[in-house]
Amino acid sequence: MSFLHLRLDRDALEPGERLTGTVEWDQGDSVAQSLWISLLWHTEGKGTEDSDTVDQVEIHSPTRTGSQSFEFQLPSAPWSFSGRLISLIWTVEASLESTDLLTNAPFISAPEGQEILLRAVEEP
Amino acid sequence: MTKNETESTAGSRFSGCIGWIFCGVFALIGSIVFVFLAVIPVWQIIRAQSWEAVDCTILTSEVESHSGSDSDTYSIAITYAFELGGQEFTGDRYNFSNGSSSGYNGKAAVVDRYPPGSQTLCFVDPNTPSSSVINRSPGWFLLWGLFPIPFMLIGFGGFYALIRWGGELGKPKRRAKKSFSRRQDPVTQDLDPQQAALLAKLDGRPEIPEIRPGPLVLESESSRVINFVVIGIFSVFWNGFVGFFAVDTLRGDGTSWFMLLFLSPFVLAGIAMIGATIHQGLAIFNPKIHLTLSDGDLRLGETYSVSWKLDGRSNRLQQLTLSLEGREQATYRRGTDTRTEHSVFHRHILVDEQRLHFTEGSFSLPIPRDSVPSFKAQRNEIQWRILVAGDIPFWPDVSESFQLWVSPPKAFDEERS
Repeated sequence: MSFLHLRLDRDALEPGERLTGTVEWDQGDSVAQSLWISLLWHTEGKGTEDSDTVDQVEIHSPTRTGSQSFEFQLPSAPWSFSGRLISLIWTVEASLESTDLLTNAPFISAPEGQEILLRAVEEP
Repeated sequence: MTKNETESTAGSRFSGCIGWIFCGVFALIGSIVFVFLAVIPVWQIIRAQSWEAVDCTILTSEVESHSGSDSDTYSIAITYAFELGGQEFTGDRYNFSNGSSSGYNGKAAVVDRYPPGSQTLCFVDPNTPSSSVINRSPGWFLLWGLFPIPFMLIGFGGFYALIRWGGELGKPKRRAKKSFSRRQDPVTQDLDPQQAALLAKLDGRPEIPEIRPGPLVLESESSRVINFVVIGIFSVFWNGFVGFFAVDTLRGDGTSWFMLLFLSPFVLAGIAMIGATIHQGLAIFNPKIHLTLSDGDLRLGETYSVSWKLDGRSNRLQQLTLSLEGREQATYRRGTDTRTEHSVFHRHILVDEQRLHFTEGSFSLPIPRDSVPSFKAQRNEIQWRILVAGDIPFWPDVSESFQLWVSPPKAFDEERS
């Protein structure tokens, strides 16, 4: 049974902090050239989605089964926020190249680890 | 790449191709018709100004009728003879109009002026005497040249949109499983800030403007003169196009009430555009406000000083309000339309003056701590702006905005463990 699991040590961080976690996998019968672990954000909401892969780690020729710890330095921006039109969500994603195995783990990157809520104010 | 993503990418490429073909057809047909109805007649009129004037005799003249699907159209059919260099020639061109239109009376009046056997002047190309014309002046028929412009705007505007936002149209939608795009940092590291910003834009990555500490003169988001010129040009084209059809309909034989009814909303829109052009023209003479920030490196949770100065007739201002606004901006597509929505999440009045006694001053700009920094991606943005609103009795009001770039507090710039 193939699987790809991702575990973050903390899922609420402040911008600029180090995010750490572990990825575990079992490729089953398939053989992947690389295992990619990516730090990225994307937007959700009314606007067409924007996204950016901020950092990536590649594990070459991963063994059939295994686990690997990783760490990323979070940038100072953008922050996790949720408004009337836009939400910005940070995630770590792991994928075994040339297989269907992909998983992700969302987390918060904002002061005090609290997502910023933007409440609409009334037009004057 | 998974099968679904391959299909999605192929589908996007297909829809992208359809877009290019669609715009190409509009641009090509619009351009050909524009050349035929505007460029060639104008070029011929200019050329004919140097042609030789010779006496000619009208041989035949009549209003020619052309059957159309809705109604008949008419053109001036005229032939004439003239002598040049001892040789006899004939011509059959009244003016440089290419085609026929619905107005009969105007053409009948021309035909009445040139009965067979009458003498008149015609203009002949001395190098090619087979090229001749009776009336070499520009006429209403040139307005037909406006007809293909909307088609060209759709075509070339579509090309612009495809080039500017084509990447986004071709991108597969995010789903649970997707492949990653590789980061190109080693390349961008060697670029200057402008090149890096351009590359980031092309790559769909968020843009961060170059931030310079120290005083910063803010620039208004829009130019009054450019607004006036854009609205004015659009108004001239719109009203020229609609006015031509309206006049042609009114001058036609038996006014078509259906056509008049059909044209009336376009005429009303044209009148509104003239009003908007006048309004924008008057706004050019409004007093202009200049804002200078004490520090261009704005941070959440900090307070800055802004100096302001008014140019022009500031004594006409009855009220001046400056406010700080934070808003979300989301751009999305619905069908073939691209729409942009805003939602304001922060508003704070900075200055609210009745009856100004000074033409310059300064105020505090407190950036809230419990909010978000500026963010600018291709379709989603967090914007911070200073809004200026001024009330002038019986005159267009002052309305300007100055965009700010607000960064996270400095504490978040450093690496933290």
